[in-house]
Amino acid sequence: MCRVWFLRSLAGVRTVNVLIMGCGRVARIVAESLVNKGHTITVMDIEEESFRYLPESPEITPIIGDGVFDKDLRKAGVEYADVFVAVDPSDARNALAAQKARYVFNTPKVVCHMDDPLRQQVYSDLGLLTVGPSQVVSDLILEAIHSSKNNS
Amino acid sequence: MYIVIVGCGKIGYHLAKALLLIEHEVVIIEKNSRRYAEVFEEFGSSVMVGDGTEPALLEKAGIQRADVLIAVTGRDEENLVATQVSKHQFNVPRTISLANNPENDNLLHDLGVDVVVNSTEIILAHVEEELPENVLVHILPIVGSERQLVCVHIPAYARVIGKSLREVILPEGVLISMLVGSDGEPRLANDSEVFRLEDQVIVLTTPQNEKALLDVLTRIV
Repeated sequence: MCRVWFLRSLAGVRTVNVLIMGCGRVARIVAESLVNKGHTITVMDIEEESFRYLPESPEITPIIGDGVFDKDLRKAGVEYADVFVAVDPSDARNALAAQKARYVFNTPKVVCHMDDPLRQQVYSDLGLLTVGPSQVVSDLILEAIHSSKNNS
Repeated sequence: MYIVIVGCGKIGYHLAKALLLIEHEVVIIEKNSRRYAEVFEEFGSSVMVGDGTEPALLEKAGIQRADVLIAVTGRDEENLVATQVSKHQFNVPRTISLANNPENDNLLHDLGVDVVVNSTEIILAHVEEELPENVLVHILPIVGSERQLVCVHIPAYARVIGKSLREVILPEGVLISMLVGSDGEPRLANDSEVFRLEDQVIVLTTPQNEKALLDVLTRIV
C-alpha cells in the first residue's frame, strides 16, 4: 500500500493522511493549511469542547479519544495515517502517543511537540521529529527587544 | 545505592520507606504539592516537589549519580518519559517502571526500560491458580526476553501420561525445566523422566508457542 512511501515534502501529488492528537490552536492552523493543499486530516482530543473552533470540512474528521490508548488511536485511523502529530498540552502524553504511533503502528512520519529543550534533545536523539515552541518564541521576543522597532 | 523514585503515591511511598530502611540513599520526586506536603514530614529533604520528567529537576535530584531510577506514578506516559530521560540524558544504568496499563508493557520494554512491572499480569497469575479450568498458568516473565516461565497441569487421560520426555516432541525453543508431582515432589526434567497424571510441568516458553505446548501436553488420548 502507498503508506510505505516516505514523504520528503507535501508538495507532491499524493493526498496525505494526517492524524493530529490534541485539538488546540496549533492543530487548527495545521489542519486548515493541510486541507487547503488537498490532504485529509483526523483530529483527536479527549474533550468534545476542543473541537468547537475546528473548521468544518469533509476532509477534517474530529474524533473523541485519547492518544495514549491503542484502541483510541485505532479508532482515529492511526493504521492508515501517513503522519502523526502529537500536540497535546502534556509533553509526556505526546511522547507516549508519538512512540506508540511510530513503534506499535509504524506510522511513517511522527512529529512531536516537546517544549523543554533538554527533553527535546533526548527525543530528537531517539529519532522523533520534535518541535519546541519555547525556544522559537523566545528567539522572536529577543529579536523584538533588540531590534530598532518601537511601539507606535 | 543511590536511588531516585518518581511518584510518591502508595507504591512510591512504601518503596521509599523500605529502601531507606535498608540504608540506601533515596530521593523521591512528587508532582502533587498536597501529597508532597503529606509526605514531607516522613521524608524531609529526601522528597522533592516537581515534575519527575523534567531534566532540570532530575538533575537537582542528583540523577547523574543515581544507580537506579524507579518510575511508579499512576500515569504510564510520565513513567516512560522519566525513564527515557534518565537513561538517555543521564545514563542511569538501571531503570524500573510500572506499567499501569498492561497494553504498554511491551512498548515500555522495547523503548529501553530495563524492568517493567505489570501489576495486572502479576495479580492475574495468582487468580489463574485458583481457576480449575485453566491448565496453563503464567508464573514469571523473564527480564530482557519475550520468554516466560509457565506451569502446565497434566489432566486425566492426557496422551503424554506414561511417556518419557525423550518421546515427546515439543515446539522449537520450548524448554521443560521440571515436573512437580501431585505429592509436591519435584523431579528434574531429564530425558528419561516420565509424565504423570496431575503433574505440574514447569516450562520456559514464548507466548507464540503456548498453544502448541498446551496441545502437546494436555491433548486427551
